[in-house]
Amino acid sequence: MCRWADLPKELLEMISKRLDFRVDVLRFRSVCTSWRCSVSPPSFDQEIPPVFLKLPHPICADAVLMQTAICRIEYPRNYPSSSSSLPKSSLVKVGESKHGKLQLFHPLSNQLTKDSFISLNFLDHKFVQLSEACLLKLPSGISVFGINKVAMFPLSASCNNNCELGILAIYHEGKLGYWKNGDKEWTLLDDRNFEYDDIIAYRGQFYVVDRRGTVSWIDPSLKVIQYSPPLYGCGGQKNLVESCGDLYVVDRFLDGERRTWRDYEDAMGGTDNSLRLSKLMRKPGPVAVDFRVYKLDEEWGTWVDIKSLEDRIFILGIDCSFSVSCRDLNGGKGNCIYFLHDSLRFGNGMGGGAIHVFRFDDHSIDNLTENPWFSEIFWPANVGSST
Amino acid sequence: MSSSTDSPTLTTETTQLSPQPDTETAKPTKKITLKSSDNQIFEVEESVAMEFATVKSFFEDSPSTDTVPLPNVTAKPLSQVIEFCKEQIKFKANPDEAQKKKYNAEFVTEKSDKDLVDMIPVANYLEIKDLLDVLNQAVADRIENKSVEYVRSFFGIDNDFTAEEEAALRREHAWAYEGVDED
Repeated sequence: MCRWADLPKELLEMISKRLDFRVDVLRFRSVCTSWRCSVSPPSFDQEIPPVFLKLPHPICADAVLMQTAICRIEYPRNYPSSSSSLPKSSLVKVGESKHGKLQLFHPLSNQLTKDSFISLNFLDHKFVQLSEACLLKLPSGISVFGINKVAMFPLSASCNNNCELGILAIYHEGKLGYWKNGDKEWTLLDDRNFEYDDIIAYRGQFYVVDRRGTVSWIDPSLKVIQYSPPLYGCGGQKNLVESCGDLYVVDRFLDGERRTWRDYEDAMGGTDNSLRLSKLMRKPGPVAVDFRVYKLDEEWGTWVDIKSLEDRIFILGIDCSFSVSCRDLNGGKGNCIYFLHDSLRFGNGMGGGAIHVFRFDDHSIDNLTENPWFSEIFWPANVGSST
Repeated sequence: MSSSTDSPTLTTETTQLSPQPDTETAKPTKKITLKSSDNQIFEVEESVAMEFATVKSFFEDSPSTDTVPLPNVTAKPLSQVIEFCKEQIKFKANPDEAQKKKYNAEFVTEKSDKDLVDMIPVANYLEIKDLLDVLNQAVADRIENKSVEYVRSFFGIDNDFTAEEEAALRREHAWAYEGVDED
């Protein structure tokens, strides 16, 4: 059998050249001594020029696709600065800066972590990737107005291959569209249903859910194929979450009506951004008051109302929803859902309202700022909420 | 390919090439016999074998041979490599870039980490450039954003750094994090 440590240098270089991120090359070199000799170190001095995607009507923006990974950092047990009060593992969103270095964000609020209270080092800290997230951002850093959710299509796409870049997006109220770099317009994947709520990559395919809880998958030729019967859940907003290999629909019960795209268009009358927002603020968005979780019984094609998430924690972010076991997060409590209060939807930029926790056992909802204990599952714990 | 094969149903179709038990070749001009290091015999069409640059040059050097020994290649990765090349021949006859891309993507998606890692040296040894490209990309995608420890276990490599070397690595890695954005 061939030993990988002794493989020809060219082969290792070929693989390392295909790593999109410079940090990954750094890690690749740290595997063993022979690899370290074979692969040259990446440079962190050179700026990566942002690639602007010229999104056509009705979005009309020059945007940058920001790709991040939701990870669980595991701290080593013998780490000098880790005290017993610190959790041994927590959630963080990892992105790449324009110089190719790692940037750490809060997984829910998307806030960039400015100061780290312990020094991080990925030889000591193990990153376990839980999920990937995509966000379209304007050069100013705020996310693109009108886009609710994006994903790169197909799944295997790489953001560095911009000429072939294609994106799936839910925009306006819930239109499901596809746009390929260079296309003059968006392709509407479903011209009858404008109420899509969420996209998720699951078992190597993209799945979408609409407001009624019907789950469909998107085949490689971009056909939307119904996968589940409608859920007819009474809640007003659906999210897709994968947990332990199963697909779940989270049904959010809202107090107040969801804003329509018309509300936004009316507010868009002015060119002043702050004026637009203040106009929107006059019509308060809906508030989540309860949650239900359903799992599809694939054999019978029926929805199962889940009464408890057991040790799982569901996290519904702006650009990504995922789940994690509280047992992996020593500070966390299971059977709850973290979410953002939807004070301003439609890609309002970073943040998107304060982080709240829904507890399944008593159906209570708490603001994280009032219960900072709940933010201990995130890294760093002191950035609990955003405004 | 019909769309039903892509359907995310619970059953996945796996096509395994079973090694041919006997070496008897009825049409020696059409078939070529490959022998893996674990003594499994594979009988393949000549056109498929010619996809392997190493085998091709072997035949150019000694045209009268009927069995090509592949001392560096075990049966499992070899069968997978043959499966891939068979499809590539079809695409050569009927060029369809989209279908080819789709096939290549599916080929790697359904393989385990170990299968991919085992196939790379084989594709390299047999000099099948297209497959090597596909495999290298797939492996790069799978180790992206993973810890050093993960990459080690992915390739089955032991950490052989001394304590001093590790300390140097640690220093190198410490500044790969960016606490504050430049702007």
